This record gives sequence, structure tokens and C-alpha cells, in this order.
Amino acid sequence: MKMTILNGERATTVDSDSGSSIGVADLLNATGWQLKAEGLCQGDVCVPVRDRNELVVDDAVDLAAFAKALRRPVVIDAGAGVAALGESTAEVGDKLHNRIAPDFTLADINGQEMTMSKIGRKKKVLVVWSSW
Amino acid sequence: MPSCVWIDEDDRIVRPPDVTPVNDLFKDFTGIDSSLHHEELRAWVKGGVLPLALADVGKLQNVPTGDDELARLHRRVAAHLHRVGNDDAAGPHFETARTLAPWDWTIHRGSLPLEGDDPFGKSFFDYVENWGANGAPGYAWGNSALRSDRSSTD
Repeated sequence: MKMTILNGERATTVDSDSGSSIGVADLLNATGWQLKAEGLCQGDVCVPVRDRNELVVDDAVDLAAFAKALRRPVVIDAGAGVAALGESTAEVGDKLHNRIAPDFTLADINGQEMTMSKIGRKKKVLVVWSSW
Repeated sequence: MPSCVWIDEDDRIVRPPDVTPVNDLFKDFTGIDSSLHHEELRAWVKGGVLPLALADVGKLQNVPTGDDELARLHRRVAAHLHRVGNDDAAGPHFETARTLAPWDWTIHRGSLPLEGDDPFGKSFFDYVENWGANGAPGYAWGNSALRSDRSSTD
């Protein structure tokens, strides 16, 4: 079956036997993390994995174990073939308490992608509303 | 109702998210004078004057709880399933999101159109009444804090 992984601003569809795990080879593309001897790694940062047998079964990464290892929340609907990964609540709290504005990319009114960090050293006012 | 957050040249938040009406059309509902934000914004842009001490900005951030984060994920799953035409599977995720974050307007009202309901319909106004009866939780909290700050200096 196919499974869609919602991670940050990305949605990636991969093959999944169970609806709750994805192939080791698909992990990097779907999540930005990859499995190495050191543990789960993103760039130069690696997080040790205490129970690799819980994380990897038959060459597939269990998404619940993956989220647990990274202390990230996850919602998995195996029947519908979709999972959403969130950010670590502790990391979000630390960033907000330290006043760090998370970067983001959105389409502007002309459909062109705009990334906040590329605006440069300017004052920025982010206005959010809904037209309902 | 627009909300604003101010971000400085170093990508640091200098005014936390806050309800900031463009004009006074809904002043009876919000109790917020729109000119306050306009004046503060001019003072910051033109003179670099901030309305809050930076030490207080971090304290006023509305940090999501674990349930808030899970609610957002359930809503994200629901919205995805709705987009791909699987509304039967989406429904329980919408409901779980509401249960986990009952006073989150984005989750509640923002989900109504995706569920075929009217965001200006009876279910919305029932929600508003219930929310008001519960002390209007989660809304304009920052503004209330900022307004009390202003009133002490006005």
C-alpha cells in the first residue's frame, strides 16, 4: 500500500507494507533523517537509538518508534495510509521562550515561494487571518 | 480577526502573537481599540521603540501543550484525507482534534468548511456562546496582558 508522510511543510508518499512503517531507504526522503550506525542522523546531528529492534523490523522503520526516539509527536492512521509528524513540544517551547521565530516558506500572492529568513535584516510583521 | 507577531532584524520575536484588529468594526466583540496596535507599530518601525521589555516577550509566548500538538497533527491528517477525498477517514481525526484542543478557533472553525459545515452557521455561533461562557479561553490572552501593561503606563 501507499503511505503519505506529512512532515513540516512536506508531504511524501512512499510504499508501506503495514501502513505504520516505511522502508529504511525511504526514511531520508520522507523525514530528513537517516539510519546510521550511530543512530538516527540529520546532517551532522545524530540521536542514539536505544532499541534498534523496536525501530527497524524487516528493513522497515516503525514510525511510532521513530517519533519516540526523536521525542516528536506523531499521528498514524494505518488504515488510511497517512501519518503526520510534529515537532518536539520541548523544542518548540524552548524556541518560543527564547523568542526565536521559526523559519517558514509560503507562496506569495503571485504564487512565488517566499522564505522569511531570505528577507534579510529588516523588521518583519507577520499578519495571520482567515477569510473563512 | 487578524493576529500579528513582530520579528526583528535578527529574526527574534519582539512582540508575541496578539489579536490586532485592522479597524474598529468588531470592537464591541473584541474590546480592542485598533489604534493601539497601529501606534505601537509606528513607534517601532520609525523609532525602534518596543511596547514590551524583551524579558517579558518570552514569558508571553503561548507555548503549545502536548495535547495542542497532537490536536494539530490530527487536524493535519484530517485535512489531508479530506483533500484526497477520504472524508469517512477524516471525520474521526477532526473530532479528536477538537477534543484535544476544544478552544482552538483554527481547529474548530477552520475545520467547519472542510466538513461541509458553515463557518458562519449555527454550530459556529453555538461554539462562540459556549466559549464565551467558559471565559473566552485562549483568545486575546496576549492582548489582555499587553493591554494591562499599557494601562499601567498610560
